Amino acid sequence: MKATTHTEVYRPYTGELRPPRWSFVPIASSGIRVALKSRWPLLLYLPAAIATVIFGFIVYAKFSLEQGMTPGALAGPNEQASAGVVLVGTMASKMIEVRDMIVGAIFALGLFSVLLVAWYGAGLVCEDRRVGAHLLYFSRPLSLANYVLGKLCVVGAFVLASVLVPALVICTVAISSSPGWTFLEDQGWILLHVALYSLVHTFVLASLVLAISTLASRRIFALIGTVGFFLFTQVLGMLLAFLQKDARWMALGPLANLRRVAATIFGVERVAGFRLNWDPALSWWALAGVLLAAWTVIVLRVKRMESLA
Amino acid sequence: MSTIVEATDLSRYYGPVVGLNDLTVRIEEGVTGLLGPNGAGKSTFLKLVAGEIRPSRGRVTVLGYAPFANREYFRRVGFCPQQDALYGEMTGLEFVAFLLRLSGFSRADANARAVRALERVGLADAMERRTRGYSKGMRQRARLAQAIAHDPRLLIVDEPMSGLDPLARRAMTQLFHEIAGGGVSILISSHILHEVEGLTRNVVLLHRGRLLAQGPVPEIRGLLSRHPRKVELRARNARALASSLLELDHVLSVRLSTDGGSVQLETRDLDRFWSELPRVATETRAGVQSLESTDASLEAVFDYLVS
Repeated sequence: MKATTHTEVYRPYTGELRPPRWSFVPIASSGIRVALKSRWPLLLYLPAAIATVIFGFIVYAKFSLEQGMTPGALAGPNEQASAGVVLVGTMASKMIEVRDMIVGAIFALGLFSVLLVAWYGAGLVCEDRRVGAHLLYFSRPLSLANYVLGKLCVVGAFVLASVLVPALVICTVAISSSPGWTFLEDQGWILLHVALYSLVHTFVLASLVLAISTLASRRIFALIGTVGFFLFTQVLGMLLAFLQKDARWMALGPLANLRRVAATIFGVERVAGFRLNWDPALSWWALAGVLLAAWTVIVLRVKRMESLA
Repeated sequence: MSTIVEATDLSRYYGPVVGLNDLTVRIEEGVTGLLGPNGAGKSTFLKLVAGEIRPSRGRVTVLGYAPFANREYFRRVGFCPQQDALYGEMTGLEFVAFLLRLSGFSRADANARAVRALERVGLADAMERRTRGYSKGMRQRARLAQAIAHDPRLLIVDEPMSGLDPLARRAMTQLFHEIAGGGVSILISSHILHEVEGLTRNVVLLHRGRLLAQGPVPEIRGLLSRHPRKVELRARNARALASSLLELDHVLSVRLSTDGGSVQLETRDLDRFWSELPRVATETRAGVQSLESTDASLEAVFDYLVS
């Protein structure tokens, strides 16, 4: 330590501080900035990017074919047009609604959403407690609600990006490739559904990972706990549904419930490879129950963090 | 001097464990050391003063405020916990600026203050580095920077010297002196007594969650009249001095060191001893080179109190 650095005269602050009403904002912005410092976890977005390209291309193909283009022509003048492009073009010519593509993307990315939420959310609360950072938070003019909201925003931003961005890109492709932007006029409501579902998806996953993080002592345990919770409930639901021959057991898994809710919001009846034959009301109730449990845990544990600081 | 901390019947329980037990204490402004062995209740008391935890019984007011969850109060205190509390991915500057923003400063103001605070604690050169690469001393200074950056009236510091090398300890002590010189009151805890002795003579001694003693160390020592006071003298003619000192009626014992160069004695009345020593030293031509009251140190006082 340099002696010269200690010669400054101490000057007590005499100004006026702004009441920090939105103190969750610095927590959220700083948390996101810190999370983005590590680049390689962003690879978790690669599946979302690939799915977006595939489903976006199908939507583009659909509108192109509707305007008279042949599947073979989709590949352009290149004589060695890939068989895949022709196949996608043929698929697109047979189906499909844009909402099917959005739901397809959401279904395909379900597991990756869990990985994302686990990676970015697992350490948010438990690491604060482990290193004692909560002592610094709670010696500031910061309410518990702002603390939790700030943490929720951090993980929420990453999950939201994994759902909202692919859906919006597919919608943008649909809007720009539909003749005279007719998609926007005819099915513009899909954008609202995208926003609604993205919020539900984000809120459920972020709440669950925060609850698990408040319970864990270290990030790695919260990470394993989060992935384990989603996989276990999903597999258990599938197994019981199979053994009992009753699809309602699927509602045990939050991921299955989110899929069911997505299908309901977008008005999709079936998605290839996924069971959706149970009452959507059951899924809404199951998600409400899970959220209630998660927030009870969060509130109790964070209050305990404060009182046992 | 005005009172900054006033605790009345203050208790804090952690389930069946008693962290602090019926503590009534009044702390004046200035630098005050909070002392006691591990588990004495120092950190619990500091957290109660910092508003981190709620009292189980009794009450505490600091700067006239009830501290727990009091946002108005939080703007007036700086808390430097014992725990690491740093985010390894943040730079020192980001860390301090982030916490300042939570205190209500604008981004620009927070950055400017963070830079100034980090310069004050000697982290000017390392403020752009991630805290993950900081040494223990640098981490301690970064924590201290966040505690002083918003110009608090009271600085609460939990075990600041823990794990620091002697050079860093001296620098930290110097820094505390400067902060205190600027009119900031400091409440500092430690279980290493001589660390606090270098900072202040005003101490609060805790033991097993209870108040053991409070006040300037020499005064506390003076109250312990049932214990004889110990004095050590180095002299050229220590042997003659020892035999003369034995003749004083208030001197209980005299011991000559093995090298014959110093005398350790115990006396019932230290004041009389100081007044009679010049005469005895002159008569014996002892050539006194140094003298020290060895049990006026905090360590000795603490030993007496808990024994």
